[in-house]
Amino acid sequence: MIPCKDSNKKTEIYTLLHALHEVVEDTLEKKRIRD
Amino acid sequence: MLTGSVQAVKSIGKGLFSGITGVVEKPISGAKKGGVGGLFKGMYVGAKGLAIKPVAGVLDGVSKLTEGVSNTIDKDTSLQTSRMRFPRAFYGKERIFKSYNMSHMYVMNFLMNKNPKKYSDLTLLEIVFLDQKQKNQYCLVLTLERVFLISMEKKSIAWKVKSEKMKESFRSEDGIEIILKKPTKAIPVSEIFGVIIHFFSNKLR
Repeated sequence: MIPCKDSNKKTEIYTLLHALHEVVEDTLEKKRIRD
Repeated sequence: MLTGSVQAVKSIGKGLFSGITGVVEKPISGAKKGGVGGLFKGMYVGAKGLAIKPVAGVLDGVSKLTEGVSNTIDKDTSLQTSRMRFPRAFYGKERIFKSYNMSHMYVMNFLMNKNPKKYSDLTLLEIVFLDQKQKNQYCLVLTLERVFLISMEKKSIAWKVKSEKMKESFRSEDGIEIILKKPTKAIPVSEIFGVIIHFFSNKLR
Protein backbone atom coordinates (compact mmCIF):
# COMPACT_ATOMS: atom_id res chain seq x y z
CA MET A 1 0.00 0.00 0.00
CA ILE A 2 1.20 3.47 -0.85
CA PRO A 3 -0.40 5.69 1.79
CA CYS A 4 -1.91 8.72 0.09
CA LYS A 5 -5.22 10.52 0.59
CA ASP A 6 -4.75 13.35 -1.88
CA SER A 7 -6.69 12.31 -4.97
CA ASN A 8 -4.50 14.33 -7.39
CA LYS A 9 -1.39 12.72 -6.01
CA LYS A 10 -3.08 9.33 -6.13
CA THR A 11 -3.75 9.84 -9.83
CA GLU A 12 -0.16 10.93 -10.38
CA ILE A 13 1.22 7.85 -8.62
CA TYR A 14 -1.22 5.55 -10.37
CA THR A 15 -0.20 6.95 -13.77
CA LEU A 16 3.49 6.60 -12.94
CA LEU A 17 3.09 3.03 -11.71
CA HIS A 18 1.08 2.16 -14.77
CA ALA A 19 3.76 3.62 -17.04
CA LEU A 20 6.49 1.80 -15.13
CA HIS A 21 4.56 -1.45 -15.39
CA GLU A 22 4.19 -1.02 -19.16
CA VAL A 23 7.90 -0.29 -19.63
CA VAL A 24 8.95 -3.23 -17.48
CA GLU A 25 6.52 -5.61 -19.21
CA ASP A 26 7.71 -4.41 -22.61
CA THR A 27 11.35 -5.01 -21.61
CA LEU A 28 10.52 -8.48 -20.27
CA GLU A 29 8.61 -9.35 -23.45
CA LYS A 30 11.54 -8.26 -25.64
CA LYS A 31 13.87 -10.30 -23.48
CA ARG A 32 11.60 -13.37 -23.81
CA ILE A 33 11.54 -13.01 -27.62
CA ARG A 34 15.30 -12.53 -27.78
CA ASP A 35 15.93 -15.63 -25.64
CA MET B 1 47.23 34.71 -1.64
CA LEU B 2 46.06 38.33 -1.85
CA THR B 3 47.79 39.18 1.43
CA GLY B 4 50.95 37.47 0.19
CA SER B 5 50.87 39.48 -3.08
CA VAL B 6 50.38 42.77 -1.20
CA GLN B 7 53.27 41.97 1.13
CA ALA B 8 55.43 40.97 -1.86
CA VAL B 9 54.80 44.33 -3.58
CA LYS B 10 55.47 46.13 -0.30
CA SER B 11 58.81 44.33 0.18
CA ILE B 12 59.98 45.10 -3.38
CA GLY B 13 58.91 48.75 -3.03
CA LYS B 14 60.59 49.04 0.36
CA GLY B 15 63.83 47.55 -1.02
CA LEU B 16 63.88 49.91 -4.01
CA PHE B 17 63.02 52.96 -1.89
CA SER B 18 65.62 52.13 0.74
CA GLY B 19 68.27 51.51 -1.94
CA ILE B 20 67.62 54.80 -3.76
CA THR B 21 67.31 57.00 -0.67
CA GLY B 22 70.47 55.41 0.76
CA VAL B 23 72.52 56.88 -2.11
CA VAL B 24 71.65 60.39 -0.88
CA GLU B 25 71.21 59.80 2.86
CA LYS B 26 74.32 57.73 3.60
CA PRO B 27 76.90 60.27 2.23
CA ILE B 28 75.14 63.12 4.10
CA SER B 29 75.06 61.25 7.41
CA GLY B 30 78.65 60.05 6.77
CA ALA B 31 79.84 63.62 6.09
CA LYS B 32 78.13 64.85 9.25
CA LYS B 33 79.89 62.23 11.37
CA GLY B 34 83.31 61.91 9.71
CA GLY B 35 83.81 64.89 7.36
CA VAL B 36 85.32 64.18 3.91
CA GLY B 37 86.32 60.62 4.89
CA GLY B 38 82.81 59.98 6.17
CA LEU B 39 81.35 61.40 2.93
CA PHE B 40 83.29 58.89 0.80
CA LYS B 41 82.49 56.08 3.21
CA GLY B 42 78.80 57.08 3.05
CA MET B 43 78.92 57.15 -0.78
CA TYR B 44 80.40 53.63 -0.79
CA VAL B 45 77.73 52.32 1.63
CA GLY B 46 74.98 54.07 -0.36
CA ALA B 47 76.17 52.58 -3.70
CA LYS B 48 76.39 49.13 -2.12
CA GLY B 49 72.87 49.54 -0.73
CA LEU B 50 71.55 50.59 -4.17
CA ALA B 51 72.76 47.31 -5.62
CA ILE B 52 71.85 45.01 -2.72
CA LYS B 53 68.61 46.39 -1.19
CA PRO B 54 66.36 46.11 -4.28
CA VAL B 55 67.58 42.53 -4.84
CA ALA B 56 66.89 41.71 -1.18
CA GLY B 57 63.47 43.33 -1.54
CA VAL B 58 62.66 41.22 -4.62
CA LEU B 59 63.77 38.03 -2.87
CA ASP B 60 61.71 38.91 0.18
CA GLY B 61 58.75 39.65 -2.11
CA VAL B 62 59.06 36.26 -3.85
CA SER B 63 59.18 34.56 -0.45
CA LYS B 64 55.99 36.37 0.68
CA LEU B 65 54.24 35.56 -2.59
CA THR B 66 55.05 31.83 -2.42
CA GLU B 67 53.96 31.79 1.21
CA GLY B 68 50.62 33.28 0.14
CA VAL B 69 50.21 30.70 -2.68
CA SER B 70 51.06 27.88 -0.29
CA ASN B 71 48.47 29.07 2.23
CA THR B 72 45.82 29.29 -0.50
CA ILE B 73 46.51 25.72 -1.67
CA ASP B 74 46.32 24.42 1.92
CA LYS B 75 42.99 26.21 2.41
CA ASP B 76 41.57 24.82 -0.87
CA THR B 77 42.55 21.25 0.06
CA SER B 78 40.63 21.46 3.33
CA LEU B 79 37.55 22.75 1.48
CA GLN B 80 37.54 19.83 -0.94
CA THR B 81 37.24 17.27 1.84
CA SER B 82 33.55 18.00 2.38
CA ARG B 83 30.99 17.69 -0.41
CA MET B 84 29.03 20.82 -1.21
CA ARG B 85 25.94 18.93 -2.41
CA PHE B 86 24.76 15.42 -3.23
CA PRO B 87 25.78 13.97 -6.60
CA ARG B 88 23.35 14.62 -9.43
CA ALA B 89 21.05 11.81 -10.58
CA PHE B 90 19.96 11.34 -14.17
CA TYR B 91 16.52 10.17 -15.15
CA GLY B 92 15.45 7.14 -17.16
CA LYS B 93 17.35 4.79 -19.43
CA GLU B 94 18.36 7.76 -21.55
CA ARG B 95 19.84 9.37 -18.42
CA ILE B 96 17.95 12.60 -18.96
CA PHE B 97 19.45 15.71 -17.41
CA LYS B 98 16.94 17.67 -15.30
CA SER B 99 17.37 20.71 -13.08
CA TYR B 100 19.00 19.84 -9.77
CA ASN B 101 16.45 18.73 -7.20
CA MET B 102 17.90 18.66 -3.70
CA SER B 103 15.19 16.36 -2.25
CA HIS B 104 15.57 13.85 -5.10
CA MET B 105 19.33 13.77 -4.69
CA TYR B 106 18.97 13.40 -0.92
CA VAL B 107 16.73 10.35 -1.34
CA MET B 108 18.98 8.76 -3.98
CA ASN B 109 22.03 9.36 -1.80
CA PHE B 110 20.19 7.77 1.13
CA LEU B 111 19.50 4.63 -0.93
CA MET B 112 23.04 4.49 -2.23
CA ASN B 113 24.46 4.66 1.29
CA LYS B 114 21.96 2.04 2.47
CA ASN B 115 23.20 -0.57 0.03
CA PRO B 116 25.90 0.63 -2.36
CA LYS B 117 26.13 -2.74 -4.14
CA LYS B 118 22.43 -2.99 -4.99
CA TYR B 119 21.32 0.63 -5.22
CA SER B 120 24.15 2.53 -6.84
CA ASP B 121 23.05 1.64 -10.37
CA LEU B 122 19.33 2.28 -10.09
CA THR B 123 17.65 3.89 -13.07
CA LEU B 124 15.67 6.68 -11.45
CA LEU B 125 12.34 7.52 -13.07
CA GLU B 126 10.56 9.70 -10.52
CA ILE B 127 10.29 10.46 -6.82
CA VAL B 128 6.94 11.42 -5.35
CA PHE B 129 6.59 12.90 -1.87
CA LEU B 130 3.33 11.75 -0.31
CA ASP B 131 0.89 13.71 1.86
CA GLN B 132 2.87 16.12 3.99
CA LYS B 133 0.07 16.41 6.54
CA GLN B 134 0.62 12.83 7.65
CA LYS B 135 2.54 12.25 10.87
CA ASN B 136 5.15 10.18 9.14
CA GLN B 137 5.99 11.48 5.71
CA TYR B 138 6.75 8.99 2.98
CA CYS B 139 8.24 9.24 -0.42
CA LEU B 140 7.80 6.87 -3.29
CA VAL B 141 10.87 6.17 -5.40
CA LEU B 142 10.20 4.73 -8.81
CA THR B 143 13.16 3.18 -10.54
CA LEU B 144 13.24 0.84 -13.49
CA GLU B 145 14.56 -1.92 -11.25
CA ARG B 146 12.67 -1.41 -7.98
CA VAL B 147 9.96 0.63 -6.31
CA PHE B 148 10.68 1.91 -2.80
CA LEU B 149 8.49 3.46 -0.14
CA ILE B 150 10.76 5.45 2.15
CA SER B 151 9.86 6.80 5.56
CA MET B 152 11.41 10.24 5.71
CA GLU B 153 10.95 10.54 9.46
CA LYS B 154 12.52 7.19 10.33
CA LYS B 155 15.01 7.44 7.49
CA SER B 156 14.29 3.84 6.56
CA ILE B 157 12.84 1.82 3.69
CA ALA B 158 9.24 0.94 4.61
CA TRP B 159 9.06 -1.56 1.76
CA LYS B 160 10.63 -2.25 -1.58
CA VAL B 161 9.66 -4.42 -4.49
CA LYS B 162 11.24 -5.36 -7.78
CA SER B 163 9.42 -3.59 -10.60
CA GLU B 164 9.12 -6.79 -12.63
CA LYS B 165 7.24 -8.45 -9.76
CA MET B 166 4.37 -5.96 -9.88
CA LYS B 167 1.24 -7.17 -11.58
CA GLU B 168 -1.12 -4.26 -11.26
CA SER B 169 -2.05 -1.37 -9.04
CA PHE B 170 -5.36 0.23 -8.13
CA ARG B 171 -6.64 3.18 -6.18
CA SER B 172 -8.21 2.59 -2.79
CA GLU B 173 -9.51 4.97 -0.14
CA ASP B 174 -6.22 5.15 1.74
CA GLY B 175 -3.88 5.21 -1.20
CA ILE B 176 -2.66 2.95 -3.96
CA GLU B 177 -2.47 -0.80 -3.61
CA ILE B 178 -0.06 -2.89 -5.60
CA ILE B 179 -0.77 -6.49 -6.53
CA LEU B 180 2.25 -8.68 -7.08
CA LYS B 181 2.56 -11.45 -9.65
CA LYS B 182 3.65 -14.01 -7.08
CA PRO B 183 3.28 -14.25 -3.30
CA THR B 184 6.19 -12.72 -1.49
CA LYS B 185 7.69 -12.86 1.97
CA ALA B 186 6.44 -10.54 4.70
CA ILE B 187 6.81 -6.92 3.87
CA PRO B 188 7.12 -4.44 6.72
CA VAL B 189 4.22 -2.05 6.75
CA SER B 190 3.69 1.48 7.91
CA GLU B 191 2.65 1.78 11.50
CA ILE B 192 0.27 4.64 10.92
CA PHE B 193 -2.31 2.31 9.42
CA GLY B 194 -1.81 -0.43 12.01
CA VAL B 195 -1.77 -3.05 9.27
CA ILE B 196 -0.77 -6.54 10.29
CA ILE B 197 2.09 -8.03 8.31
CA HIS B 198 0.70 -10.46 5.80
CA PHE B 199 2.86 -13.49 5.32
CA PHE B 200 3.00 -14.81 1.78
CA SER B 201 0.47 -12.29 0.65
CA ASN B 202 0.63 -11.12 -2.88
CA LYS B 203 -0.77 -7.77 -1.87
CA LEU B 204 1.84 -5.15 -1.11
CA ARG B 205 0.56 -3.32 1.97
